[in-house]
Amino acid sequence: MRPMTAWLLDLGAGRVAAVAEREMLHLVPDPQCFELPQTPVHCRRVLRWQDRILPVWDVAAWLGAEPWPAAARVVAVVGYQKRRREAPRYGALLLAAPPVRVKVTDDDACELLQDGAGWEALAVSCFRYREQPIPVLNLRRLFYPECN
Amino acid sequence: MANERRTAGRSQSLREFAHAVLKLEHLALVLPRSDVRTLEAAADLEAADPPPNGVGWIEAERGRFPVYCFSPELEPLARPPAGRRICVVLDAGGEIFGFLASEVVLLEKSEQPVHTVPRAMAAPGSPVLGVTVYADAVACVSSARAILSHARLSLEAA
Repeated sequence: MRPMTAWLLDLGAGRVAAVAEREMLHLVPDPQCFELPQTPVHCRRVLRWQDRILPVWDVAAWLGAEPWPAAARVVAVVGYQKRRREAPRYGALLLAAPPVRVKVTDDDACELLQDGAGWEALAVSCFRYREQPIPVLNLRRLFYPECN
Repeated sequence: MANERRTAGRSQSLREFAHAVLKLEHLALVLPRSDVRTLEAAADLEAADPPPNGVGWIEAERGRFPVYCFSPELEPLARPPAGRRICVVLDAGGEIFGFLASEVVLLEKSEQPVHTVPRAMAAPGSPVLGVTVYADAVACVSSARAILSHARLSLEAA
């Protein structure tokens, strides 16, 4: 079975998730982000990136942690498609540390993490890595909340 | 409403209209300049018996109009913070009102694009209709109509 590569994301507050290798596009250390008023607490800031203005998701805040901790020093620009064959769309994720590449096989698939935090709304699947269940983020659902 | 749709729509730019930048401390609000009727001194504000969700009244153009003041988070304030020295008299499709700002910049048309508010951040009733870049930072695009509507919506929610 051929292993696939994923990026392990330290979201802060002890939360860890993953995205597929192809979804990770760019890491921005010490990003200059701008807060927009009247926005949800987990997605209050935007990042200017390549003539675009991208929403920055703070997944740990969505899961109940203090939003935008001072320790957050990295933003990952990610790409996703709203529908197959569509041009990629972009968003950003707040990270506590640079991501780590890991190899995953189908045998690593496991039940979604059930810690009461609400991962089922954010994750598309889950795999086990070093005995820890790692939810795989559904970027389409994060950045287009009406999508399943 | 047509004006709001134009502002909030896909891939627009500020070249469609000259615009005014209203600074609320660190927040820059970009409005069509045609929404601005006059600029008055906030010192002329009559604070007695303010309108609901407002901070007072201003006399301008032979009329007396309600004045609103928002925080940089765009929440209506009952009392203006120090530094809001300008009362921008705005026209929301015939409804005139004052809006307090710390600084106002009137600009000509520009090629700067207006982006839609990212879907993950959009909130119903928000006066932020789009985002753009001003002075190397991200600014919020709005309109007089959206600001007035937000003041009234906030009142209903209170």
